Amino acid sequence: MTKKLTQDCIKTIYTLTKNENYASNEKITQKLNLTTTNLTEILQELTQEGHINYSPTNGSTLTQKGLREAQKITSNRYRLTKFLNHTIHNKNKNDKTQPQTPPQSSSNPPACSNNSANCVLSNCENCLKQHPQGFEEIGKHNKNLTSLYELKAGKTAKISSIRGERKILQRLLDLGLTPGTQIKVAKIAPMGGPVEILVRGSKLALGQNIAINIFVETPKETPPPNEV
Amino acid sequence: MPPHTQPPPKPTNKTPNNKHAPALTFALAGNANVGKSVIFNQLTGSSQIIGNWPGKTIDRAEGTLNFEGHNIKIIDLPGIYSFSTFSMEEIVSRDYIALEKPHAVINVVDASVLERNLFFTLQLIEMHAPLVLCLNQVDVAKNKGMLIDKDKLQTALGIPVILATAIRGEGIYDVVREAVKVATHKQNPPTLKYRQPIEEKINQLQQLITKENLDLQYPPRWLAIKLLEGDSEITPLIANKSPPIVETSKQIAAELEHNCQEPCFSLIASERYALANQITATALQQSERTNTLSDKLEWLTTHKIWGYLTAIGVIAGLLLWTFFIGNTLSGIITNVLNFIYPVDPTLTTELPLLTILLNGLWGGFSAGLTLIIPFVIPFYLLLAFIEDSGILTRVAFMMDSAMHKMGLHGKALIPIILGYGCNVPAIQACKIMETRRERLLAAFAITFAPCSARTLILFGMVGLFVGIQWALLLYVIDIAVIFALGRIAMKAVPGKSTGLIMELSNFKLPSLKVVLKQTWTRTKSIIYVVFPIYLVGSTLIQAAYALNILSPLSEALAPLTVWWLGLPAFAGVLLILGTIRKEFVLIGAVAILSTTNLLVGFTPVQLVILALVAMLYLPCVSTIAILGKEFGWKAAAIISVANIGAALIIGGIAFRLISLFVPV
Ligand SMILES: Nc1nc2c(ncn2[C@@H]2O[C@H](COP(=O)(O)OP(=O)(O)O)[C@@H](O)[C@H]2O)c(=O)[nH]1
Repeated sequence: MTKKLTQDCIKTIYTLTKNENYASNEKITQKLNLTTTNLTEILQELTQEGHINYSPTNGSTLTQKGLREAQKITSNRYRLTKFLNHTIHNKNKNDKTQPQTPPQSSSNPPACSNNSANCVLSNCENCLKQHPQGFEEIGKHNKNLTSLYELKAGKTAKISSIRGERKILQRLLDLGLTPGTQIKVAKIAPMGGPVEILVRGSKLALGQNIAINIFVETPKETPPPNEV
Repeated sequence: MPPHTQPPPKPTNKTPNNKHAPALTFALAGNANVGKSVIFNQLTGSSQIIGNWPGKTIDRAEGTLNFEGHNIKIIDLPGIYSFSTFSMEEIVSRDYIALEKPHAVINVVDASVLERNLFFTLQLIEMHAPLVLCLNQVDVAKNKGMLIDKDKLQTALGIPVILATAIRGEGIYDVVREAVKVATHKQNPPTLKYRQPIEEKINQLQQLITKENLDLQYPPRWLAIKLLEGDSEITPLIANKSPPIVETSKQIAAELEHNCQEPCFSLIASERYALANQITATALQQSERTNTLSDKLEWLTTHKIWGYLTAIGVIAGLLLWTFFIGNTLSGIITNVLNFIYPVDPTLTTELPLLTILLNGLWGGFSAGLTLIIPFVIPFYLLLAFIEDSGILTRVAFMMDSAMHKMGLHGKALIPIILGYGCNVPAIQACKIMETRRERLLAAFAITFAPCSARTLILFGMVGLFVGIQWALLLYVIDIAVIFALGRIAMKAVPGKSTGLIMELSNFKLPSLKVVLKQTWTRTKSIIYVVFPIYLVGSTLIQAAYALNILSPLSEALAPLTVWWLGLPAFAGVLLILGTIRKEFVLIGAVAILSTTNLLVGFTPVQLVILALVAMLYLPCVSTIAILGKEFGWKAAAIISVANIGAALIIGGIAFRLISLFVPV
């Protein structure tokens, strides 16, 4: 078994379990282009290593160890993405295994459509550091969302959904970050520092690992004023 | 006494048998950083710490006020954003308002952030608290181009609203007058309705609760809302009395969640904000605003280069200013004192007791006056200025990613910087951190932060007698030590760190009144409380030294002090004395040497090493006590041992390093 394949498998299970409770065998085979026997072998190996919990009826979920592994894999990838953002994005588009989301207006930065693998690459380096099982979500997590952390300074956006532990969600709600609220990014601190946002007339600083779990809808980019 | 214009307060049923109890109790409640402490201080004449960063009022403070014949007790509650019981402060405030039932609650609101503040006001209304809204910081709102229509706000909320600019004392007494009215003419508090699907469910549950008569102090409507939110304190409380209600509430909540596709706690928060938004829209008029000084400062302090430079500049400026002002003052005072009483250790040898007494008292007095006071006052002055300017939250913002390397987030920098003033309140201010682990890590870092006493040792020993550049170098070393040990501590204390969620306060020109008051409050405690200790301590040291009590101690410590650190033997005694108050290292040296010129007893290298060790080696007793109180004695002991270890290791290495270059 190649190391690459097991790693891909962990990553895929991770991506799939973000939206559903279990990663079903079907979906994994689809995504990785594998035969079922091949897959069972890999899954068995992963179970033995303690990376996943496998249930023949439901599918697979990652264990703590598996999550850490997924984090390692994705964060290595994350660094890569920084350089190869476009290439990888396009590559992901090409291995269409899922219904693709409608293409974005081309001037947008590669946005995070929730079910593309790109989402893992760009967003989840940090959100994985917390225990995903304790995570709750508020608001509607529909498609075409961007993480707040990806917005540039000066951009406005509308909050769609927030993920996090209950305590953090409650704190953010209390401070006025309810789903549907308009916010504006005022400033991003250097070196992976926090984001300053304007919300309901107040200024809030949100650390990277908080901002990355806040998903926003950006207004449709208006065409730039006529330039020659 | 002014003529009574109002009927005397009705006897209250709360404390009928206690004639001396204040007749009325008012509570100040509101978000963090809205100006409650300013109002509290003005009303009660006390000196609560005021600062421009969220979270400084930690425990509730009490004071009294005599107003138009009413004896009023004022309670300053900690600043909170909500009653969702996620922090101790929220629970304390909530229980105070619901259970102790103050006669009036003065909700202090920052007019420039009206909507966010009203979110909390709505929760107070839900609790049926007898409310007066104090719309504070109207001046700031005006500068931001916001005009607030008081009457419209009053009608929309159904409670009296008073405009105020607390910092100038405007409107404060109108607030109290209104609160007296509210307290004496009991009126039914208003109920604000939420939108349909939710209001209906609240009603349904409320009726059920009223019918069951749970005999709880909280109003039924509020209980209904808390049940729907799944509040972790209220739900078990009601489950104790009537499990069926909790069952029904769970069903209703599930139904709501199903219909709206959203967790109930989020629905209700959204509902409150929708209402707050609507009320704000009717009462507030926003006009264009111009770029203010505060905007420019914001740009500067959060710029990716200038931001760090200003932060370093502020700290370096604090130190240099302290040193130069202190040095000048100290020189003047020394001359004056020498003129009055030239220190002469050989005076009157035939009356040893009198000599000891006189020299001791005089030594303590002159050490305090020449080495402590001149430095402490400018230091506190600038620290209060920094605290009030609003720069602290910006520094926290800029340093967040660096603080993550110590397992903390940016907010921890606020208590650490306050630790430069005094470790004790700084450790208390660690409450602004979210988890115990973070509070502990921050407190550990604070015990190394050079508090004003340590700054004095640096300036009084090293700055004056060796050179200011050496004192500053020690400061830099200290910051490096904080960072390095913070990293080690992070590894040693397991757990994960949370993310930064912090409100950024507005920049403003600090109010001179506030700054002076703050400086005076802190200096006063030095003069009244600490100065006498200097005098007594200094005398005792002289006596003990003269009677040779201390030499066995010095000898016992000699291997450490003389061999390992290269200090004179009596430095061991100084270090032990310094655990009481760090200044005693300095005052003790003056007492033992019988002169304020420390070069008589030390070489410059020894002064540097002694100052370095004294800065790091052990928190003073008050700090250890507060550590024990906040984190338990075990943690306090571990931190103390870590301090001693670090000081000895670093001091010994420094001594050997310096000896390589400078012959001792
Ligand atoms: N401009 C202005 N500043 C104010 C006013 N009231 C309070 N402040 C400032 O607001 C900050 C927070 O005040 P403080 O009383 O410590 O807030 P607390 O947390 O509510 O106790 C301080 O810097 C005060 O100087 C006001 O009416 N106008």
